[in-house]
Amino acid sequence: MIRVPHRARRSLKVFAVAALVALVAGACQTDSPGIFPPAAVTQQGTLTQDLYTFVFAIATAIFILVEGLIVWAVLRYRRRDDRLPVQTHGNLIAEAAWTVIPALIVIALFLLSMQAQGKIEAKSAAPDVVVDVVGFQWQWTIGYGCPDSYESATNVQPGQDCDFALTGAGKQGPDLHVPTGQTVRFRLHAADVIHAFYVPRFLYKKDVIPGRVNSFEVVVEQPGTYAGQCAELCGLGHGEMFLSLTAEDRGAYDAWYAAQVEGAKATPAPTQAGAYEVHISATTAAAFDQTEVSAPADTPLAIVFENRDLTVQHNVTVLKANPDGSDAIGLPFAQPGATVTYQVPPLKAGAYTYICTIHPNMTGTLAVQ
Amino acid sequence: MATTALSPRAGAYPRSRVYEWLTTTDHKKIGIMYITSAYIFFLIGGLMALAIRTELAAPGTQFLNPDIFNQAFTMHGTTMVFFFVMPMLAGFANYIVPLQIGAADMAFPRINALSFWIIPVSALLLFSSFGLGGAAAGGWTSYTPLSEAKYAGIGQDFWLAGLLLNGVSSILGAINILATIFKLRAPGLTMLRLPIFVWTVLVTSVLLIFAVPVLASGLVMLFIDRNYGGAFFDPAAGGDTVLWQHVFWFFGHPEVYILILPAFGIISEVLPVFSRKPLFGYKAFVLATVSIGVLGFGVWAHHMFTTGAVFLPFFSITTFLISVPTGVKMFNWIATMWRGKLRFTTAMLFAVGFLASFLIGGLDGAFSASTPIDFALQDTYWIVSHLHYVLFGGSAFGIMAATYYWFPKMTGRFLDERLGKVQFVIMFVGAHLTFFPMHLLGISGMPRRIQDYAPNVGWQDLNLLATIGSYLIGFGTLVLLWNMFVALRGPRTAGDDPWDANTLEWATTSPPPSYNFDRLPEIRSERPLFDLKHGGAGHAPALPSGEGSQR
Repeated sequence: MIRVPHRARRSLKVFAVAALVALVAGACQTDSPGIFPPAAVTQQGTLTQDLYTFVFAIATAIFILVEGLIVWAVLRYRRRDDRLPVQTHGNLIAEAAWTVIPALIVIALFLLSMQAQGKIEAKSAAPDVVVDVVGFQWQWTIGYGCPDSYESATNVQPGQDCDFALTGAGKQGPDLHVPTGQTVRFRLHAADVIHAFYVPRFLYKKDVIPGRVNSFEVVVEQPGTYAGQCAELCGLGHGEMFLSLTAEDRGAYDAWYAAQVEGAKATPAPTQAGAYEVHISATTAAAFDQTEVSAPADTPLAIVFENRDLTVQHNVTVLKANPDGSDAIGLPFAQPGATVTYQVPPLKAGAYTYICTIHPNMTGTLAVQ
Repeated sequence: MATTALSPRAGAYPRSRVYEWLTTTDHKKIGIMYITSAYIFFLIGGLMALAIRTELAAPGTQFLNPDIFNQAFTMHGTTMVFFFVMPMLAGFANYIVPLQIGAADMAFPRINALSFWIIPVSALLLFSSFGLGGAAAGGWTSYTPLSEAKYAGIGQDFWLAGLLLNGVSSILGAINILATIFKLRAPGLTMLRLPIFVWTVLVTSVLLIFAVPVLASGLVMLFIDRNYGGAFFDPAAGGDTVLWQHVFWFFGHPEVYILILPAFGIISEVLPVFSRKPLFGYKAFVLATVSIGVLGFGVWAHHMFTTGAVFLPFFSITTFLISVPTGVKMFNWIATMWRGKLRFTTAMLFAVGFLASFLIGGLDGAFSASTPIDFALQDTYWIVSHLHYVLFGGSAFGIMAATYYWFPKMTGRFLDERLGKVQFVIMFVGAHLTFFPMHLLGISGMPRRIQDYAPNVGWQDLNLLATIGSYLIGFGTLVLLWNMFVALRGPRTAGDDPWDANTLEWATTSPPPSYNFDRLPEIRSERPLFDLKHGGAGHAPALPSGEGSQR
């Protein structure tokens, strides 16, 4: 048999060690991904973090032991002559040991996991804050102060029935606020397909599933702003379904909350006098019935949207129509058969694209003259 | 009576080689066709993987838009699972099992041909969707409602039909294998003398028979949902969308063992031969294989811990426990090498590489068995890393070992050992470079199946590293192809038993005649050929074949 030349073997070893050192060194740099999770910011996440560290220690010990045995066998028992080695068929004691000891280890890990799981999945009778999260392709709507019926209602659209609702597309997504040191319950609703609510610094995620309401609770201990994104494949925009979560003390949270409530009252002003009405309807999820509409420039618009599609909800979102360049998202969605009016701020002359947020293939052009 | 000189080469029916291969019912030819087509699908699936890695090498959209990207990872997973690993292992089982049990062919040779020929047809069905409005794009798991008619195009229907047909092939193949193992064993070959590869194929076949029909029912239900107004998975109409996940994973987790158990079997053939020792703890190994098969049906919902819709403690403990028989195997393999006389052929290198890599895939799986840790890891790149350590570091390395080990038997020719070692080093380094960084990406929060990531989240370097690693794997594959190309043009120098092996396939010529054996050695242990050469286990002189091998 051809043997790998000794020099090649040595350089291979050097390469392997160098690669490992580089990897570990890279992993130890602050803020870059490492072999340990990023520091948890919730009480519950801290439990997960401790459990991870413990499992990691055991796994590392087993890894070193077993890889060590493999490497030892490979180096020590190379064939040097053609004599037949002793034909060992087994050893009852050794085999019993490596059955029973691993079994005891995994049972211990199981018990520790269950203990942590009990605390992480615990629900309080009266959480301090309840946040309703609605996932839809490919954004989140966040409702604050929503009615109790949301605890079990599967097809919700946070809007007038809540204190206020947050939306937002783009690299940030909606900016949720939660108070630190208090119990926050997230109730998760899906409007179309399955999504998953995932904030990596929570070391936690939960699926957002149509037809059921999932919920979980956290106590955020570390103030700060944390990124989140959808973790369950949900279609074309799955990789761009972001959210941002700001944890702050209760005082700051209350002030933010009050400002949001004010804003919510102010925005949906009943159809402003002099607003120009645009009529759009949809009969199927393939396209709007009107793909070209026009409106005067510098005039508030009221889009009267009639959803004639009896199978699914739709809306009208005018892209880049807000003064800050963001999309004017039509909320709430129009249920099958319903008519909803969306307010759009005065627009400068030009061509704007409108879509249905749920069905981005449904597009039309709004010509503002 | 006049004597007639018979020559095996003098065909009674002169016909072209193409016709011969198209119509053959010889398990060896069918096995080779399985293996060849599986390697073609490995190339197709591998190119899709390289496309995915190219897109992810840097932030931004450079190579694949989200639409094509989703199709690429969906078809990559589907191809590798259903058209590479499964047919590849079925191919080795087809070729090797009848030889290892001293049979002349499979129990049902024509059904055997049918189960092979279904595969290219089902592949044609699946891949034609690329040209007919786009392939399925909902992941190889095709979760509802994303795979329902409202959200997924006609590619999803092709996916369903393709897999349904592919499943028919698997079920037919499994029944055939079971009948062969139970009914066609040579005299003296009791169940506890079966080579471990045959045992793993046996358990795999049982898993297939129980698991694939469940998948088939799910596929049909989804097809009805999509095309005939069914509501099995539509909550708005009274269905349950989580039901799909139960059905899929009730198949899908045993499927993981379907993909790995025969690789365990391959390793358990290669390690003893190149250590010159018997497999350590044969009976414990058989027991571990069977218990993995049984426990494998009780762990499916560990894929669903974050749905909030499953009973966590049950699936957590079963998942933890299934690591015990797997660990037993790991220790048995190492004990097999212990105090042996190790010869590092390429097959042996891949077997040792399998041990070193599969260990990582086992250990990082234990993290996900712990429900709280799984809440952090589920659907991140950690999972991608874990499954590739198991399926690439495990199944694919096992397949490489099998390729180098049995190539001389199938062709009479050696694959070049020097090229083989080059390939091993490239692939081993490439695999760890590709898949290890994914652990770190996952734990830091990178979800799987995203086409892009922001430049400011610190995921760039590790993704680039993974992409470089994947190119290395691709290069290693080219080395293998070159090696095969050269070897097939070389002389037949391998001989009957080039590795000084233990099992019956080495007791006949390379390649074996169509009827497999002229004569069979007496079988007194799981290593009949070893006994023949070294006089162990109360060896007696070889037995003339006669009716022994052919009932």
